[in-house]
Amino acid sequence: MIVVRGIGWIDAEEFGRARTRDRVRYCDCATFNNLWRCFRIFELPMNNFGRFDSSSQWTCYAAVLALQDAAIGHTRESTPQIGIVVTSCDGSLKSNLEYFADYVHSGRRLARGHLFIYTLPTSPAAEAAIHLRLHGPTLYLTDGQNTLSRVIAVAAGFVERGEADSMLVVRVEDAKALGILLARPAPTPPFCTLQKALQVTDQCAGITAILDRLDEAVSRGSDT
Amino acid sequence: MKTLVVSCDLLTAYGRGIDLCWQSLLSGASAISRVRRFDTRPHATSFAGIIPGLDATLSDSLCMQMLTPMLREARSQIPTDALVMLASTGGEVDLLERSILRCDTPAEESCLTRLLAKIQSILANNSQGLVVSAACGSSTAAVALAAAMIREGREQCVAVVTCDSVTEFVFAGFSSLRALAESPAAPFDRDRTGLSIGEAAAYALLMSEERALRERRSSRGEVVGWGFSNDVNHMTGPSADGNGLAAAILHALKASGVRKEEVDSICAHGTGTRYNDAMEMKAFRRVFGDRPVPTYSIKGAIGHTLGAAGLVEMIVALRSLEEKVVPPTVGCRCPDPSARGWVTLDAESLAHSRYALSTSSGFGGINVALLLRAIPGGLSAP
Repeated sequence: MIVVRGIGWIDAEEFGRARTRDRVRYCDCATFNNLWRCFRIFELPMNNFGRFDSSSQWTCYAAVLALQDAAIGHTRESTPQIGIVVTSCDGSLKSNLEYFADYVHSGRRLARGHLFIYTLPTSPAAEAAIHLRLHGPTLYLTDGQNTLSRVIAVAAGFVERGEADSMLVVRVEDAKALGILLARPAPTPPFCTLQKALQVTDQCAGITAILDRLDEAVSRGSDT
Repeated sequence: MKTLVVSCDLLTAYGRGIDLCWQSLLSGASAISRVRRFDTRPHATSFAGIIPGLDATLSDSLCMQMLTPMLREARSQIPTDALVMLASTGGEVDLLERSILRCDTPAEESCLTRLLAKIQSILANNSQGLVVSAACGSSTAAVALAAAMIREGREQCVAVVTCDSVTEFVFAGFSSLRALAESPAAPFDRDRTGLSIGEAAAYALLMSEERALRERRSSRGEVVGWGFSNDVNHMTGPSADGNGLAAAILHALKASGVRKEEVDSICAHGTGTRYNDAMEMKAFRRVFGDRPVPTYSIKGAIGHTLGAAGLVEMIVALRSLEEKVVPPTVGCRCPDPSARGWVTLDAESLAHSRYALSTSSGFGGINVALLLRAIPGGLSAP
């Protein structure tokens, strides 16, 4: 049996953890760009975080918030075998444009390596994996309709087959990200069952709607 | 439920077809040549594994020029209800180049979901396809996911389609990272200096044994196991100790129940960079101990075909199992001490041909390993 052990989310104004019902309005005293300096979201320093591309930053925030919601700490020690799947509708398009436009603008003689490394759809997942010590599978997945439930099903499969102890699924939208931690049940109560998560994410398109429906379902006690 | 490879084809710098690729590998010939497609003078090399006949000035992207003829021919082999998985790193990134250089193409046209839709249209496929990307392990990862879905009964039939091309976008990027060899790549060579970029397209139709029998399909081979891991080290540099890749290989062995003594050959990632090849040999030695396993890389022959590499290498590994011959590692003249006794310089016959391991590693510390078994029947054109 697989459950959703934690959910983290962030947008341009707030961030939160769904199971513990934390919600922080950061926009009153910080911006997305300096959030990591103003609020201690990361338990350990994320080296060079300010130089990550924006997709990687959104991904890392959502991932760490989901881990925290699941009561899994971020330590330098060996962690359970956790993997990560990132999904979005346009992959690394924004970073691709930034990299190549800079290369062209600079005369097509020398590309910038620190921009090139973000031109893979997996780069945000990889940054999260490296800095949060996620030794499990690292993937980017999407279908033509940006259906989150399909990605969750694939991620759950890794846990069911014993290829990971838990899996993070992170969905990145424009100025928004959602992280879901899937795992086998633990002493801490889960947020909801996998079935409920699949049902809600199959019906809803955007992160806001997904969070609202999940919250509603859990509040009603309809399936936890 | 067994996962069988019932149909496959590929296009590389050698040309089209598995037979041509296999014979060319055995001959030791390299298909890496000078790039004429864009100006390489500012970059570290002018060599790449270029497919003859592709025209970057046509309206069709390089990937579509590679895929369209192959998939049109394969259409009769691929059921319309097959789940189509596109595995790629950059896909039609040449369309993004055009959007910036010529302003004649919307950049969104380069998204992988658009390429997936085009592929499904060629195949008249009505499934809700999937895009799988895992850096240079993309198509290996797609095969592993497909095998998992079939084994669990969630799918009966998955068509893994892969394509990546040599573009200025990619070439300049690898050059900026100082990863490119000035002359054609020499995997596992003592004096290796880097990789050669390449381009390729391939597809493989994976099917459950039950459906393959029902449809009287002949099988090319079986995907018996897989493993994933992350090095947790660096965005571009693999871990020095090889533990991540070793973990992926051990997952594959454990999941399949195959003993390491039964692995008779390894189709390595073998890019030709100092760090990757050293890491791989450490991983192989960690898993297999002092028993050298015949190991080869094809990237000195056709270049590093990025996301497509894994599927091309899987097809070659299945052929190698079937023929009981391990091809030479084209480009390698004097193996690195860590690779001596393992890496093949000439074609070698195998006393046993039970299982083959195929490994892929990518940026961000990604590692994927596949365990393969041949099924007698041939890997000629479908």
